[in-house]
Amino acid sequence: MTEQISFGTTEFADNPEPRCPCLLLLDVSGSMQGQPIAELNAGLTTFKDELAADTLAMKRVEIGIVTFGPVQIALPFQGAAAFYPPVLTSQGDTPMGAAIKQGLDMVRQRKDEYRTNGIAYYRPWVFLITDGGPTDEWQSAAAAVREGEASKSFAFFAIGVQGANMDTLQQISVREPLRLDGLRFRDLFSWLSSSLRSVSRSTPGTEVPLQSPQGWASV
Amino acid sequence: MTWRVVAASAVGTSHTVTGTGCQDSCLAQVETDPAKPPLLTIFVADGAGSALHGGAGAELAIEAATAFVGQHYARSEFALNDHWAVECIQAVRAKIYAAANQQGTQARDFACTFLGVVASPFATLLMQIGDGGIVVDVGNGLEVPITPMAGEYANMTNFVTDENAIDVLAVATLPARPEKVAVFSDGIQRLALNMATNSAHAPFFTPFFMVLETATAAQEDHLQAELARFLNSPAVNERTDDDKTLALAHWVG
Repeated sequence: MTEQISFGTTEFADNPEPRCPCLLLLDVSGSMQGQPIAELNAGLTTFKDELAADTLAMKRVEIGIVTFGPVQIALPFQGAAAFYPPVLTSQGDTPMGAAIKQGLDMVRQRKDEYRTNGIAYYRPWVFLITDGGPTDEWQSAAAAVREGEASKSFAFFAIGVQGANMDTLQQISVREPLRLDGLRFRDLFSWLSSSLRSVSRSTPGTEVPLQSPQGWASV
Repeated sequence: MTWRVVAASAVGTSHTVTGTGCQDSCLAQVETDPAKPPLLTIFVADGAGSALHGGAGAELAIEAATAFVGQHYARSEFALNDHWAVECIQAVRAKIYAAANQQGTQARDFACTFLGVVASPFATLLMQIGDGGIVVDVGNGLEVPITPMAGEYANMTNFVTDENAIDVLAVATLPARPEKVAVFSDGIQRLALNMATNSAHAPFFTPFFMVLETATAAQEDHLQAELARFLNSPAVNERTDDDKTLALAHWVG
């Protein structure tokens, strides 16, 4: 009879989970008034609910929100667990250029914070959602997006709601902008949460292909 | 006068869900020719999730490296140095490229990381391409001589199949016999290392080395099954859903 041996240990190093930052640049200009803004708010709630259903995503995904106009940090980056979507109201014009620059700054700062604290992270995602065209100087923001995409600092996606100036979006986003079908914000955010879930559990060497945005978008 | 070794790989829960098998591969053995000092060999390779044949690549890498060690051990003398490490990696790459060629596919399809420790009673050689980690104790306590490699993002790493594999290869040589060695894939990395300081989390390793040091001959046969059981335990699966490999050695005099 051999004495039982066991490697049993639960003494694990307590490392922070790698983070998966996602920044939303949301257009809340006057033209979003009424149903569009209501659907956008409902979409954010769907987003929160679907992330909450995934324990790993809850620990890893971080959300930040910048609204325009005027340009405002509606939500500094925080973990999905602490993410309570603000209720957005429609207001002024469409300073998209300034909003993009503000958002990219937030992403840069967040990455610095991760590095300082030895936290691993995934490539940040920036989502621009608008129903109009920029009312401010946007060319320098577009250059910053191109530069960031080229250096793989982040991935930038643009989504046009009906009325959006798709030509300008095309010049801002390196990736082909998507057009939201009707006001299907809920389907959009449901897709976004599921995409973030796949990224947040991807392992080294895995390029995560984005699922097709079927159901809410047309290119 | 030898090391006691044990190694096991276990499939990650996420791979169980998607039906992909375990893409980690490992080997721990001691070459013992009575006429020569013993040679400890530990290899761990983690096939890339994005590669079609990542798991096969990991197996080929271990096979090639083991054959390389065997050839050298059969010779009278050789030095465990940088040059030796580069030749070993070249042997691994040659094997994978030949296999890819034969199947009419790209070496990239066999992408895997590669970690190895080769040690004599007088010297320890560590080599690493990609993530995962190597912890050794050559008499100064547990240390992590090679800083764990990572790209900027958590899902980026280097592979032995990459064009620049030799450039990114990290090698460390220590002029002493290792008392303790642990080599592990990235699935275990976050449990075993303090990532902010790149240091070994000693409480994680203590029970393993204790068991290896004190196991009786009768218990030795159960080590592997016991390690596999640990890697599949809920406590581990709660912390990682990736494939996981742990290979250990302890000098037993």
